[in-house]
Amino acid sequence: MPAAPAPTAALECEDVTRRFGGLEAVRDVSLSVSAGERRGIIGPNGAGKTTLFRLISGEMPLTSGRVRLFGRDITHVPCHRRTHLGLGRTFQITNLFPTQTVADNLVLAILGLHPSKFSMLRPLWTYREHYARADGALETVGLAERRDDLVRNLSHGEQRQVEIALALLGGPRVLLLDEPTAGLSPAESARLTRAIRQLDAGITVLLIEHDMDVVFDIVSRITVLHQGRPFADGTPAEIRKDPRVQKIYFGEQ
Amino acid sequence: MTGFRAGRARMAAAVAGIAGLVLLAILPPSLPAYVVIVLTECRIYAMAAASLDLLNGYTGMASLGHAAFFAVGAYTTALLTTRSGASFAVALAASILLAAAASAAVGVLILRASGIYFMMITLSVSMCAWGLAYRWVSLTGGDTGIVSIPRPRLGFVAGGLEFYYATLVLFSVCLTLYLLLVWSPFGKTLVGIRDSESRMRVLGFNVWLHKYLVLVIAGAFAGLAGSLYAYYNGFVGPNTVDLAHAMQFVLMVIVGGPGTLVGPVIGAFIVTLLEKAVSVFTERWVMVLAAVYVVTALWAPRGLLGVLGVVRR
Ligand SMILES: Nc1ncnc2c1ncn2[C@@H]1O[C@H](COP(=O)(O)OP(=O)(O)OP(=O)(O)O)[C@@H](O)[C@H]1O
Ligand SMILES: [Mg+2]
Repeated sequence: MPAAPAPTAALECEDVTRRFGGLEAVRDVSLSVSAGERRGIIGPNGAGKTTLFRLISGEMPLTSGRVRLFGRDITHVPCHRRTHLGLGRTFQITNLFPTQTVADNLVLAILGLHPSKFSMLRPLWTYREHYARADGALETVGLAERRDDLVRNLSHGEQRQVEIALALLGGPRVLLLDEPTAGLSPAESARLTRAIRQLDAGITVLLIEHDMDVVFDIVSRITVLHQGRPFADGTPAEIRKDPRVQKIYFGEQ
Repeated sequence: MTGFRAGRARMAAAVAGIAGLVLLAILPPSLPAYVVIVLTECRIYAMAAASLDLLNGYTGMASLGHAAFFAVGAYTTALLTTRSGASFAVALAASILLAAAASAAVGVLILRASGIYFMMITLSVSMCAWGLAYRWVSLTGGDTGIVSIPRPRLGFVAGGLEFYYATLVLFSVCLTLYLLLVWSPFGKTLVGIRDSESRMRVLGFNVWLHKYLVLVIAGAFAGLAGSLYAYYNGFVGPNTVDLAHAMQFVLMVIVGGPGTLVGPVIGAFIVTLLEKAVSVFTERWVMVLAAVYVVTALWAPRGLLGVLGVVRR
């Protein structure tokens, strides 16, 4: 990797575009997020926020544009390789392994980056070190007593916590959070907000969030998307004051 | 599957399994010859059905093409034994390798599809295999098939039971390997793929590679079962790979309970025994097969083990 002249951004999007047939869900989005930054991505429903995350994480190919992670062009790197390069994400709609126990969900997250995922002859439960790590993560999110329950039997709030725990077990350097508090009660939401703020300061976080209190609490900078395009960019205070943003975003609420 | 309860369930299953194997080992000398033959057939199908369960139940890849790899094993053994007098070990090894190679080749193609399209493309694999078996007369003997496949001479037990015991040993080895596989980290990744491919990708798994590997492994085991089938049946023809046969494997998995291994093994015994029982009264086995299918799909989608409440899914 050639050394970049300026301090390299953790994540860079350059004219990222994605078309679905005639619909340009994401259009010419360029943004640069520096290491350790907490960036909010907001915009009305259908603005293209989730699509942008899917382009960054590699779940979906770009129509045009480039994505760089720590200066490295990852535009054509497959999704699972990007995880190995330090990218992590959570899903707006809970996306877990419902037929598996909470512990096994976490162990799968550990296996994702571990060569033992190809081991075929040694029972998984003999991998004490994986389960020890999973138990540690369970303590952190306060789900220790749910360890052996199937994930589909957890409450929505608990599932949202597992969602984040899975992403964190991958040790991401850049973390994409897609509406982590979706469907949570105010108390749960506040707890989760605190947990996100307490994340290691070295982790770069991109946060899509509809709950403005959560956004303003966590991020230092906000990018507003509207109809697939970057519409405004600034500190939370600037964005809050921007009348155009109020019109498209706060106006409709 | 961790924790005390799961551990105890595992113990119980292991004890039941070992008891079953011991019974299969000590009973035959006192059983009528016909029963011994049927039990051998049951076990051969059980190996094939359980290998299909790796795809169907564990990975969530509903394959209708498994009979093709079974047939590759069956024809390989039939050809090697009748044309070049290959030994049991050679025929077995060649069948396993060729079936694995066939699924490795076909896998590249069929893994481009998923969901219902995967089912359709695997169905067409079955049909192509049938077409080959039927039309490639110089190799397969066409409709006549390949006849007079000699039973292997193993000479370790007297009284015509040697093939019975050979399949019993291979069956036990297979089951052990299947169990190790589904209990392993790799086995857990298959279940992860079944539950959510997109999540697996984001966690860093090369989902395609895991599917491909399990496809080749399952194909290899189907080839082994097919090889034993050729020996057992003494004849291999296109009916090894016709639609009814392909669906029969799927039915065994579904009847027993997909994603449980034990279920499909039991399912194979049930379906095979049912076929024997039904064919005493009527020629219309395929119709009965279809009826069992419908009943299972409607009232017991998780199979026998689901009905018994063994599966927690
Ligand atoms: N796979 C797809 N195929 C076709 N259209 C899609 C697809 N995914 C998203 N879209 C469309 O792209 C647009 C952007 O969707 P996206 O999910 O990115 O919005 P969003 O900003 O995340 O909205 P929300 O706040 O509701 O989550 C929408 O009009 C949506 O219907
Ligand atoms: Mg969204």
